[in-house]
Amino acid sequence: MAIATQAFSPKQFSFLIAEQDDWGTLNPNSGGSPDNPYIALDVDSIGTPSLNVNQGLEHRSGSRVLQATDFFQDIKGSVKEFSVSGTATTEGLDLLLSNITGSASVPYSVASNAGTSTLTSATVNQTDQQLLSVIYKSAYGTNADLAFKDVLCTALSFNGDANTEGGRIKFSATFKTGSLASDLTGSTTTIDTAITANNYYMSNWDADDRIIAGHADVILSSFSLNITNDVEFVGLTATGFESVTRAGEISATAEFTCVYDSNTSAMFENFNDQVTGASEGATLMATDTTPSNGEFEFKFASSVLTDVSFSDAGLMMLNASVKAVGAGIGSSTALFEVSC
Amino acid sequence: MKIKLIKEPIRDALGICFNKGAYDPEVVKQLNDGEEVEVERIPKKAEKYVKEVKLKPKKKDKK
Repeated sequence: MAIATQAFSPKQFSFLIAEQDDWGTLNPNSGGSPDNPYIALDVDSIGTPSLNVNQGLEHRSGSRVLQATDFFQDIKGSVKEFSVSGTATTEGLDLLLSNITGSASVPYSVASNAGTSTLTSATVNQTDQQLLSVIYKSAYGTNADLAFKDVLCTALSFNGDANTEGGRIKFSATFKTGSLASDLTGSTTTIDTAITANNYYMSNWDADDRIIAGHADVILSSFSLNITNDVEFVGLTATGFESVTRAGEISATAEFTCVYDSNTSAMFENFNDQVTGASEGATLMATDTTPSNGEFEFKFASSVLTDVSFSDAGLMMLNASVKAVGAGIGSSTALFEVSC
Repeated sequence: MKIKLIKEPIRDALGICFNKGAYDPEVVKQLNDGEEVEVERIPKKAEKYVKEVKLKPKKKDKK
């Protein structure tokens, strides 16, 4: 045995996601069946998966030191989490938005009357991007990829700043799985869909379609959009948690920094005078009134202001925060829509 | 109260809400069609678009 002769740049690693058809079965490498493509996300850094193993490190009675026999470890009852951030490009976003919203086509949306969604070993041949396989593709090409199955995207954020990269839209995503890691010494995974230059820019949005809770023609400096759709894990088997359900609140919130002007000065009064039980107005960031395929746009048909404050900069700016509100527990009207 | 449009139509995209609950596009459509619509409130940002329709007092009958 000798020391290795090669080291690697962090940038040589890749973060891959793919649609997974069957619970408990990692989406196979290129050419397998089903042949769902592994898509490379344009991430800033690869990060580290949180394996969250359950460990017992307390020394037991009869000894003042931790004996090897005292050490406890369990991996079946752990929820693994992964977080990445990077540049929003079409191929990856389609899969992420589809997974977190449970909707298969653009615009990706969640209805006001959305129910729960449970996935178990009975989940086979799913075709609505409900399950993902995630690969940390290693720069070291031999048996070093970290592979995770039964993964769900639980939080997805987008942000853009007019003063950073020309308003290019960035994303952050959080994933969870309650199943055992599929393989932590996986063979080399093929990237089926490489990172493209299909970028999105907040500069594409039209003035009259930049609306914050009914206040149109806002001049934006920056924005962030945050979508959450968390999961609950229950039951235990030899392969990890038995069942996963999207059961918590599905929420969409957005924060904006915009110019304080004649179009936005009324926000303080409107924030203060909002009426219990009523929407304050629509929130829309788009090139037209409808989020559509090929453009990064989002819409809350109904929303409320959750904060308004001054922001000192070269100009007097406003920070405004909104939250999407539904149209009633029996309504199929969208809580929010996002397109890319 | 009953309201009607003053002049320019209200943009559907603004999602202005004249009643409790979420945005109701039918109310805005009726207003834009020139109809008088019964609503619960006029939000501040809608004051430039609509006005309340005051009921005319009935004339007293001459004896």
